[in-house]
Amino acid sequence: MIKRLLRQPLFLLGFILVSFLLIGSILYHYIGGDVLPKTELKYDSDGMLVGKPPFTPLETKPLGTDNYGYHLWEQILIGAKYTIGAALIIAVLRVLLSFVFGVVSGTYFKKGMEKLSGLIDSIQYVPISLLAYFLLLTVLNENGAIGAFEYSFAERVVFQIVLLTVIAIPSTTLLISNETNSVWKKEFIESARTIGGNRFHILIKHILPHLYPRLTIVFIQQVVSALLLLLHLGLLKLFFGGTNIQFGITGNAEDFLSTTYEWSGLIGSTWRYLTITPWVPLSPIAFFAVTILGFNLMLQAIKQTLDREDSPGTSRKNHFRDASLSVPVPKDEKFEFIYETELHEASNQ
Amino acid sequence: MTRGIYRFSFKFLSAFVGIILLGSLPGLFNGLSINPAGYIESVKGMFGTLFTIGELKYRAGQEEYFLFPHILEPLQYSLIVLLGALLLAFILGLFFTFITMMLPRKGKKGFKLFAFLFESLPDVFIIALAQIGIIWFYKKTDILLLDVAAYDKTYALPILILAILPTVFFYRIMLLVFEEEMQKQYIDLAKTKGLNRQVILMVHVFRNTLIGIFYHSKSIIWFTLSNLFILEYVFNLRGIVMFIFEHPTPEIFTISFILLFIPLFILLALWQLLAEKVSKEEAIV
Repeated sequence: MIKRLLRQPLFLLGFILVSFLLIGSILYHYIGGDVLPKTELKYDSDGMLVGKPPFTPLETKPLGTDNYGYHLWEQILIGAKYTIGAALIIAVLRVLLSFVFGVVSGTYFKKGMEKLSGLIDSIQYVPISLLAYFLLLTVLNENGAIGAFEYSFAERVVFQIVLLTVIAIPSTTLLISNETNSVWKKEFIESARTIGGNRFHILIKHILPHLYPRLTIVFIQQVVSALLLLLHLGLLKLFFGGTNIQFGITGNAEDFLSTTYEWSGLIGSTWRYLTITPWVPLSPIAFFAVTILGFNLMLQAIKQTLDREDSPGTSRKNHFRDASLSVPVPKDEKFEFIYETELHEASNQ
Repeated sequence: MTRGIYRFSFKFLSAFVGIILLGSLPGLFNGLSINPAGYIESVKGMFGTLFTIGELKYRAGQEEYFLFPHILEPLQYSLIVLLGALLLAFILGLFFTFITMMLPRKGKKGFKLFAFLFESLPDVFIIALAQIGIIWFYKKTDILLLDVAAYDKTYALPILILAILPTVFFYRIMLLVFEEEMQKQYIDLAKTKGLNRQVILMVHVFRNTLIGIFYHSKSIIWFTLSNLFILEYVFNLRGIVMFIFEHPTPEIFTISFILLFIPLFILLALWQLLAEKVSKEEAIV
């Protein structure tokens, strides 16, 4: 399957998009040292002041600067590893845990899962980003009364990853459980049973190999959902790894800063300048879009490859027609009952 | 019929309980530690609150107000925007699907690619562009289409913006199930009988794909709901989600989502019944 995927231009395009950002970001950390260039004031050749930040993408290539003159492209590059990395970790955890729960419940607790599905469906009626927001609020934000974070950076990151994982476990488990169930209903499982395989043997030898390719689809869907969740939380000023709130003289929250340059923080802290300097919040949002597009391209390619493996050769319709033509059509032939001739032969002897 | 009633009431009750369990979740966490006893307490408390729902109050500034009937106004607004956007998206999606199905193969491919690219755009991106567009329009013409600071309610523009992404989703789903349906043999029969393509599409294919569309519509509704939340937040609309956001207690959170869930559930149930009636199949949900 991997070989086939690598031959798909869609998959390659998506893969290159995402890995360019992720690997580029990691390399920039180790080789470039996360240098963040700053253009404060621009002078022409006569030494006259010609501009002050923020610079548009046309003035300072490639994406312009923010209000303080920091270049946006480097900020996005530095932040990519946190955002994409977090989404990947969350998705891996979600799929691993749901896989274990889903396979067990889809095999051994089919009835119970059906009863539970209504309960799990209720999550659909609550926007998951709003729920996550309320649950994360107290831990991630700087405490206004103390003026400092209550928990360390590592604690905040772990808590956020665990919570964003757990929040999607019920629905993902249900999905994988149903998927497992549908494999159990296939005809070849019946034959495996007849030959004498017990449930555990069939699960390991027949069910799981059919589930693995489906899991890649679930995985990429979860990456996209985690990215969207981070984006929404960023808009609500809840940044990955914590929000550093700058309090004004009056004690009101004035500025929200991310402790790293991860993308949701870049969006949340600059969203209010959307109509004044649109490129500042729009660039990280656009990079979210590009990353999601990259994953969706891979998803599409995997789906197509799986469909092709399910029905090899030509399309199903033609296949069906060929089969119907190749069946010999009996024409006006006399029927001969085998057992009668056998009986005759037996009596003759 | 009794089976249908049993099926729906069981689903209704479990979703109802599910929302209460979700809404009580803040009681589970005490900083970083988990507190199961506190969670059970808050679930119990939540059930108790539901019985004394008329006495519930919320704070706005220095004053305290009764939750009912104050909560009904933002609820009504949100529901109108949400359902309006869904209806608009359904109709537009269907319209574009019909047009695409009439196109030759090459044109179809272009449309599909466009829809695929569009689908990858996050809702925040589209809402951001909408806001920039509104300001740009204001600068050019001096007409403010949507006043973020205004207190009165606007319907048309929020519905229009909210409908953009669900339209693409409905379109993709409809195109998929329509094309699958067109492969079936009765379509060949209808063609040989001389029915024209429009009639086949609008009458037969549409009727028979209703169930297929229904399966996906649930996730589209869920998606639109979370989209509505972002929309209300960005444009400062006086909807139910903003109400929750401004009064963030577990009780208001839970009650608001129960109130939002009931009409959506009834709507989905009605649609399921309709789709089953029309296509004479039972949906396995």
